[in-house]
Amino acid sequence: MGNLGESLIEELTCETVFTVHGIGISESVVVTWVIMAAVLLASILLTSRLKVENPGRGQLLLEHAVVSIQNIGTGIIGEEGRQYGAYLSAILIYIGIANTIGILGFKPPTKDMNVTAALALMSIILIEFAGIHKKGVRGWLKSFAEPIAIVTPINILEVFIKPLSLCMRLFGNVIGAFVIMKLIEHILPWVLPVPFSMYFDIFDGLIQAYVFVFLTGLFIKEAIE
Amino acid sequence: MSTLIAIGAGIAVLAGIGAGIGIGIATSKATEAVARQPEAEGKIMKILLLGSALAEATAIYGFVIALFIIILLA
Amino acid sequence: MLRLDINLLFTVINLVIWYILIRIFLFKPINNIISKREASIKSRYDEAQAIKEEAQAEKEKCRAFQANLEEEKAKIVAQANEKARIDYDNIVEDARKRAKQIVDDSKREAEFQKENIVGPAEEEIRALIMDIASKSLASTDNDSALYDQFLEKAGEMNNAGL
Repeated sequence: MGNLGESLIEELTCETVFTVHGIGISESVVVTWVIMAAVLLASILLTSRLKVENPGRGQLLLEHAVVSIQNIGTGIIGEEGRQYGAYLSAILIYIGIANTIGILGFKPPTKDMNVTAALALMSIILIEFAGIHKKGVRGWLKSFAEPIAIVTPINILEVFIKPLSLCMRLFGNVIGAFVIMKLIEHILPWVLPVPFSMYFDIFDGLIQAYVFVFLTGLFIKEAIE
Repeated sequence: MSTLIAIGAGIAVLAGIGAGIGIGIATSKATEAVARQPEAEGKIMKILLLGSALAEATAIYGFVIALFIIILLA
Repeated sequence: MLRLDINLLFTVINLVIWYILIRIFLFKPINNIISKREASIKSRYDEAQAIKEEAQAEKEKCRAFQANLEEEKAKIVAQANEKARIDYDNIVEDARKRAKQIVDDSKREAEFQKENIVGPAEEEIRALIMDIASKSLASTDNDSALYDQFLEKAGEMNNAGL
């Protein structure tokens, strides 16, 4: 069992891939770069041959996929905050790919708390920015005292709890799935992991990506109301 | 020391009880809803999945805390 | 995995770049293409609508022309009818006049003939009467024979004259 624990710990730690001027670049950042490069290349390749007239099946499929992803983003946030829809869609694509990239043998970037913390940080910045943009600084400050003044500490606490909850939810889900997958692979590395991988890597990963985006959208909607 | 850590981690993971009960209730209600209105199955399914994912979060928090205890204290 | 360090900042930068990349290289071209297609469909639809309207106008014009033609035709026919009626009336009038004239002429002719025939007959009858009167003055004995003779002569004349 000591062997398993050690290997698990080793798998869980995010290694520093290389060091530039004493700054260690971790694996998650590198994997994110890989994802970015791959998606950039794919989207340039796919969108270079788009036709207005008589689109092929592939183009229709791509258009449908992209439009439905955008619709998910704008559908969560509603008509009022349309400008934040594109961000939600982009984040949805990123988390979806990051969560499911474990299938290809990469370590999921969302397994690193830096990534989920960064996502949560951006979410809370966007939420508060949306609130300030909509209500102005005074209105935003006043909104902490709503509905009654006594809940102000709780509202202030919420500014920290929201991103923490988002961060930990995503991180915990991904790392939990990762640990369970490693345990199953330790028991039987051949056939058994396939159905579990279907659930933990693909289904759970996509659901968690959607939940993250959904909650961010919900918070933004709440902030701009 | 390691025994105490293990006990602590085990207690932290008890948070999963709440998530289990919550998801169970949600699923039973969803079943009832589908039985009452089979045509709304798609919508109910979507809401159930979302609710389950949210309810699961408490269990995940427990798991994360257990992980923290094990890794940070070991 | 449980540490927060400088990589958080890198990830934030990565995410911002990711967002920009996705917007520029994925969402923009696809949305562009879709809006272009929609515009082209709309323009084509408008074009079709315009052509349809034009055709409708053409049809309307054609119908108006046809109606005009019909009217013209009716007018011409009515005119011809009118003319024919007048002609007919004229002809009939003429015929009637001529017939009347013929009848009058023949009447006059008959009158004239009658005059012509009756005049000499009267003359003859007068002469006869004078003759008979002179005869009767000459011989008064057998009146009956004279009467018979007179009647016979008169009957003869009657048969000849009438």
